[in-house]
Amino acid sequence: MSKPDRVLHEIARRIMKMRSPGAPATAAAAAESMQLSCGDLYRTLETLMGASGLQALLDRAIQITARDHPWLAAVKAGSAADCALSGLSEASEEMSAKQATEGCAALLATILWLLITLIGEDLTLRFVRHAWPNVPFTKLSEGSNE
Amino acid sequence: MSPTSGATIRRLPTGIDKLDLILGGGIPEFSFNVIMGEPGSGKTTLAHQIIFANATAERPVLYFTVLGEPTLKMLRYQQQFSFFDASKVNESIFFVNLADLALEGDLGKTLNAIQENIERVQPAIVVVDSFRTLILPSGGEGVQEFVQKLAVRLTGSQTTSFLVGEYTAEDKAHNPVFTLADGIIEVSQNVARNSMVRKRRIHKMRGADPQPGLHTIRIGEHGLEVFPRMLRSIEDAQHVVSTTLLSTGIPGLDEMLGGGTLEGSSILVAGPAGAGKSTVAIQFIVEGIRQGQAGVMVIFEETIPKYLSQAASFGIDLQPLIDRGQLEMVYIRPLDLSVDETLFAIQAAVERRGGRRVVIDSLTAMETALAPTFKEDYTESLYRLVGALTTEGISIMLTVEVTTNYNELQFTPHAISFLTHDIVLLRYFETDGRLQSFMTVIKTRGRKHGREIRAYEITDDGLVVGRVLNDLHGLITAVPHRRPDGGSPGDE
Repeated sequence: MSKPDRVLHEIARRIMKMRSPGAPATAAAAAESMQLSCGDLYRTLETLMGASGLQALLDRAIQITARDHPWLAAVKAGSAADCALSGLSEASEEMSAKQATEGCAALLATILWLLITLIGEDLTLRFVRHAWPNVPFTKLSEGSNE
Repeated sequence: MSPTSGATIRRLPTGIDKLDLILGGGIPEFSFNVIMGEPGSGKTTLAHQIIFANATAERPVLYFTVLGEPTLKMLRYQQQFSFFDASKVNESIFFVNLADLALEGDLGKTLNAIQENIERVQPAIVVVDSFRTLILPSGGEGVQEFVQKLAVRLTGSQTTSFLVGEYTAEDKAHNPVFTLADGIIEVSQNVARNSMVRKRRIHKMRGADPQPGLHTIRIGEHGLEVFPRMLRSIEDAQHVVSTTLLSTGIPGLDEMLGGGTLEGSSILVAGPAGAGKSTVAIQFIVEGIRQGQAGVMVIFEETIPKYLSQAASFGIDLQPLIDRGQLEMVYIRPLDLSVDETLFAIQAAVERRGGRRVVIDSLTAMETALAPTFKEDYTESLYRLVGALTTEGISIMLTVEVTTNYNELQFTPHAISFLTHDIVLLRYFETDGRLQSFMTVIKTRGRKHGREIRAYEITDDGLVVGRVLNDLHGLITAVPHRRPDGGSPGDE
């Protein structure tokens, strides 16, 4: 897959929904859910990649996702140890709930896609299952049409 | 427990059978080891083979990555090897990145982080990759104390540990790591012309009895493969010299050799191109098979189909012998080969077929196939190869091409004649406007042989030995003269 596919987007939406159950469908809620998901990834991958390695991965994901969701270009991967996405809340305030949710889900899907391109699907799933044990992950390639 | 019982040192497998053999059974448990070598020499791959061979839920592995290759990139490449088992990652193998901490240069903090992770994971094996880059940012300050404390903590935690690093020979003399290390494994690569050969050396291994010397390594789809130098097998083998004479499959040659060649000995057939060396070799193998001795033919120059076709041209169809498992053809053609790899390929084929006769056709082509670095010790390598096979009681025939020098009787292009028990020389000469061939036996070990020079021909039935050329003299010059007396009668 040359870019995050439908299955990855669906997984990303599931993760965000799981992180903010019952939250109202607002741009702020989408940004908050994305921040929490990013924190989960940090706790799972920091040991493996180090904070700077993870920051580089997030920066690349933002750069790629911003091609389809230009408002994300204002977001920066924080160098702080909690992996905060600086500027996300502010940037999302300018967007509709739908646009913010789609952009955040696309960003999370791109992070997962980048991991898959680097270390393969098997290892990526192994790590993300640790991050979100309650999210049902299927073998991504099985559900992909792209 | 008996009060007098000593500590039992268990051995951990490396995941590479022949490396375990070199190490005298594996890596001693709870040892503190250094894996050193240049970038790209295979250090990290070796470390991964060791951890994947040993990691279990009960005996997990902690792998610290530091500066240098990012962890994701390392995993990206290592998972291409067949030993990489993704199901062990984050279950029994835990990767911890210390790069950010190492950059701070505070060795005390780094040591504490290592200790915390060891307490958390309770590993049986710890790897620090690369250890050299871990201590570089400190500028050398406190390194000795750090290494000392680390060694104590690792050993005290009942872990077998590996510090991986781009150390040089100079480091071995001055770096405290090498003083404290129980084991030092060096992986080196030697580039000569357009070939590259990797070798491994065990500098020390406390609690074990490693094989000395440099051992060839290949990195393939299964990771590192090691080809030990075969000294041990030669030393260990009980070489009983057989008195059984084997037929070469060429009656006239058997007669010249004093009844044939001794079982478990080596015979060299030397001669110029086209003289019939391969024909002799094929007849030797076929005769063995006829007597119930499976054969292995190692060829370097021609492909197997071409070689079979050549055999068929004088009426010998080798294909049915291959189909019945009585003969195995081994074709080796890379140009960066080591003698040890050749030997292992031969030994594997011998083992598969229960081979008792081996042909190497030819040493000339084999030398061409060797990496330049191995050509330096070609003669010594051949000695080991011939020794390793004949000590197993295997009869071996080697062919070698000789560039004819008409001023002297040259046997081989190298000083290899001492390696073989018997030597047969094939040569051309010109008489009556025809290029003809003669053969003679130069030496045999342990028995008398004929000293006559005989004509021979390659016929549809293979090589046929003809009459003694006692009516000619000056054969060595290739332009002989007829003796005025016409030679002795009855020498046909």
